[in-house]
Parts: sequence; structure tokens; C-alpha cells
Amino acid sequence: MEVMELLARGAEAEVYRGEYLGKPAVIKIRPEKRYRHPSLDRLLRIRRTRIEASILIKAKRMGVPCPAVLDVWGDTIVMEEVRGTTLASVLEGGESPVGVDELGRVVAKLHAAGIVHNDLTPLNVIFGEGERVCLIDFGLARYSRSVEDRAVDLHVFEQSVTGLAPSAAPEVISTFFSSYSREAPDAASVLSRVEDIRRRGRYKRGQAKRG
Amino acid sequence: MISLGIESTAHTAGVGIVDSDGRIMANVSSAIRSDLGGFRPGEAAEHHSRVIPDLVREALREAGLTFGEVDLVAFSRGPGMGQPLQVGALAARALALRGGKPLVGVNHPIAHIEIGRLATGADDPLVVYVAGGNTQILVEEGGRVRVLGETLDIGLGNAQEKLGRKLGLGFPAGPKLDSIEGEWVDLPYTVKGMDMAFSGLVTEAERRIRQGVRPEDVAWSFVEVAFSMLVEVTERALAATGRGEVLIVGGVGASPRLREKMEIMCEERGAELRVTPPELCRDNGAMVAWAGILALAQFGETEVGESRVLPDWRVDELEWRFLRKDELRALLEGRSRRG
Ligand SMILES: Nc1ncnc2c1ncn2[C@@H]1O[C@H](COP(=O)(O)OP(=O)(O)O)[C@@H](O)[C@H]1O
Repeated sequence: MEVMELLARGAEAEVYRGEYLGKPAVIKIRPEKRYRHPSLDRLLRIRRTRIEASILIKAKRMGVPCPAVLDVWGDTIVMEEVRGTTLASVLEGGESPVGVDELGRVVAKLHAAGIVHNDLTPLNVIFGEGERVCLIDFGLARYSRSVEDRAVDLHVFEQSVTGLAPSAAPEVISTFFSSYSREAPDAASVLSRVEDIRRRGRYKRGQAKRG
Repeated sequence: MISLGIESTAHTAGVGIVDSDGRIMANVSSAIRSDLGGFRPGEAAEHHSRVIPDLVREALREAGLTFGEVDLVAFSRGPGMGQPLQVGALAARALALRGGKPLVGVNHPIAHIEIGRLATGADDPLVVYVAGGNTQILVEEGGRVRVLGETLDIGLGNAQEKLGRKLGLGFPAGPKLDSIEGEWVDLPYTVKGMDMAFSGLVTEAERRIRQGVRPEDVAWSFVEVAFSMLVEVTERALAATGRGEVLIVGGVGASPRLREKMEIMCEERGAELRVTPPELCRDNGAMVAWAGILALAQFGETEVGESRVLPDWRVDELEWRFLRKDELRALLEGRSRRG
């Protein structure tokens, strides 16, 4: 593995562009976080790296567009580079994103494969050529078919898009939700659970507040 | 302009007096005592209605003012517990009507944020609001305070109190938990996007204690995990928004251990950390008085007939902008010219 340049510094990882066995690749490393106790930190970094690799492999096999894993060790994954722009930078540029429709289908397919992403923010969606959509950053993902876990995926998406790009949000969210619900298993229960999660926020703050 | 604010959303009744230059002239409070931990809303309401009249007198004395010199009466409208909220609202309405002064209802989380901005000079920060029932990562965007992430179940402060009760620490347990030293015990760590969850952590911590793991080890690790989760989602939100400042507000913000962790993260990210002083972190009247001035400047007074309390009022349900001092001055001048 030959490392060439820093591509991005995410919230938890450093992502470099490089070469692996003579082919272009990206290398994702989860460095230490000094604010956490070393035992907790090591556990999280290793566990998330392992889970990310394992779920990327499974998701790819199930036809979910995501980077192919080339190698993994310790806190490091080598994977295929995805070319394109994150949904976050599209929204930041004020453009109305094409491909949100496709994103809904991709998330539906992910859920149908028994996987929840758990970090479905605009930073983790890459739009490529045409309407191609790719999901990245599976460190918090889980194997789960529960309605609650699926609803949390949609909730995280809705909340982060609304917070980061409030003016584009209503359209992005409604397009996403409607294409998701056309294809996802148990879509009706998942959507009504999303509603519950919103209401829960309201209820707990009203009832159980203690300063 | 001088504002008197009344806080009564939960266990604390507070009265504060602040002027439109942001000078805190008085800030007095009384919290319901509950040695067993927890309290009923009815008890809090009873406590508040007993102490608020005295707190108003005490605050005026501390500020060296008569009630006639006060220009507006602000109160916490929500979110919070219905009965205690009613008591504060009732007192505020009575004062406003008696003095012929404008009444202004304010959102409690907004009041926490704005007193934090005032006290620390934070301009357009990423806000970490961490209290009993509330744990949220917030940012002002497009004329509203947006929730980027929050707890999916209970607030971090309530999680501390639940475990504290189990350990017999009494209320509030947060500061005591903070200073317990122990060894690392593996406990569940739940972060999803910029959201977090604490009740699984409490349940597992309680189970470990029942299993005979040393309580101090469980307590220390519990705080370690809970605060690490909060710092992690804050870092995620910093990366997502590109904001350069983090402002901590709310009762749990007084914790030195939380501050230490946030400081390490901010330093590594190149962000400024601003922490609200402890006396302004906990629920207090000064924050309500100050937010009252900001609300009056932006939106005008709350008609008495329209001033019912809003126990479920989420911070992202109202319009709100982070004003600079000069913008505030201009708005207030415009308002006084219009009479
Ligand atoms: N396979 C990839 N191809 C191209 N860019 C990538 C790839 N993986 C990550 N990135 C870039 O690196 C950034 C951070 O990576 P990510 O896996 O999301 O880590 P973090 O959890 O730290 O955000 C992404 O937002 C994206 O811009």
C-alpha cells in the first residue's frame, strides 16, 4: 500500500488516496481519540473497522452500491475509491440534488438486505455520474431487520438534512421518503415509527425534564 | 431596558434581572430539595409558588431597583413540566398586568443558549445543550435553531440521576458521580449519526452493580462512556457544519470532566471551546430575563391572553436568530421609535 495524499478528514477517520497492488485505492484509518479512555477508544476503533469491512462486503454482495473492500487490519481499511460529490457538498452549493430518488431505493435495498447504516447523513452519500449513488462510512452499521433500527436511519437522515440545509430539506426529504416507501420492506411501519421517534422527543422533554 | 425573568420549568424557581447591555444585575434561585432523588411536579409547583414572591423582592433588592424601574417581565414558557411552568407564568402575568409592562414568554433551551452566548462571547457556535431531560446538539441555520443530534431516549442528566439513585448518592448525583475515581469496565456505547442513547447504558451499569462489580468502577466508567458519546457527536457535528466554536450550556455543562474531554477534542479539531459559567449553566432567572429582551426585540410582546405555557415546546418550533449586540441595539431602537 502506497499512500499519496490526504483526501479527507472526517469526524473519526482520516482518508488517504493511494495505491494498493498497483491500483488506485483509498485507505481509511481511525486514529486515536485522546478524549476517550484508551481501552474504550481501542475497542471502538477496532470494532468499528471490523464491522465496517464486514458490512461493506455483505452490502456489496446484496447489490447495494458501496466501495469494494480490498484489505483490512487493525484500525485500517483499504477500499475502492468512489468518484463523485457528497450530498453534503451538493446541498452546501445550493443546488437541488438529482439522485435523491435513487438514494431512497438504495436505502430500501440496504434495509431489505438486513442492514441498517446508523449514520445516514449527507456526508456519507456520494453522487457519481448521472444518477449513481453510493453509500460510504459503515462504521456504525448493524445487521438488523427491526422496524425501530430502520426508522432511526430515516430519522438521522431527516434530522441531519434539515439541520444542514433547511431550505432544500423539505423537497429532499419528501423525495427520499416516497421512493424509500415504494421499495422498502415494511415501509408503512417504518414510516409510522419515524413519526413515533419525533413524538418521543416531544413527550420526554415535556414530562421527564429535570433541569 | 431592564428585564425581569422568571424560571420555573422543573426543580428550580429563579428570578433574574438583566439590562439590554447584557449586564446581569441580579440572579437568585431556590431549588426543591429532594434527598431521595426525583420529585413530583405538584411538589415543585407548590415550592415555586411559595418562593417566587420572595425571590422577586430579593432580586429587586440585589439589583437596587424598584419594580417601577423594570421595563419588561419575561417567563419560561416551556418545554417543561406543566404545573411548575404554570406557577411561573401566573406570577409573570400578575407582575406585568400590575405594572402595565410588556410580558414576554421565552423558550427555555433558547434562554440557556443565549445566556451562554452572552457570558462567553460565542458568536455563531455549535451548541451542546446538556441538562436533565435535554441533550441536544444545536446550530442556528436559516432563522431557526436546528437540532442536529439529540438523545433518542433520556437526557444525560436524568441518566446520571437514575444511576445516582441506585448508588444512593442523593439528588443531584451528577457532581458526585463526576468526582468518583475507578477502573475501566466495558459498558454499552450508543451513537447513531449525531444521535445518542443513554437508557441502555443505565440498565447495563445497574446490572453490573448487581453482579458485584465495584460500584466506583461502574460509576467512573458510566461517566466516561456517557461523556465520550456526547463529545463524539459534537465532533461529528463540527465536521458536518464546519463551525469553529463549541458552546456548552445547560446544567450538566458545569461538569469539569465533560469540559476536559471537550477541550481535548476541540483542540485536536482546531475549534474554540466556550463553557458557560456554572451559576449560569443551571436553570436560572437571568437567562430568562436576557432571552426576554432578545425575544421582545425580534418578535414583540406576548399578549397575556395568548400566554399559556407550552410544556412540549421544542426549540426548533420557533423562529430565532443569534443577534449580534449591534443588531439587538438597532432592533430595540426601532421598537422604541415606533413606541
Ligand atoms: N471510498 C471512498 N472513496 C472516496 N472518498 C471517500 C471514500 N471513503 C471516504 N471518503 C471521503 O472521506 C470522508 C470521510 O470518510 P468517512 O468514511 O465518512 O469517515 P468519517 O466517519 O470520519 O466521516 C468522506 O466524507 C468522503 O469525502
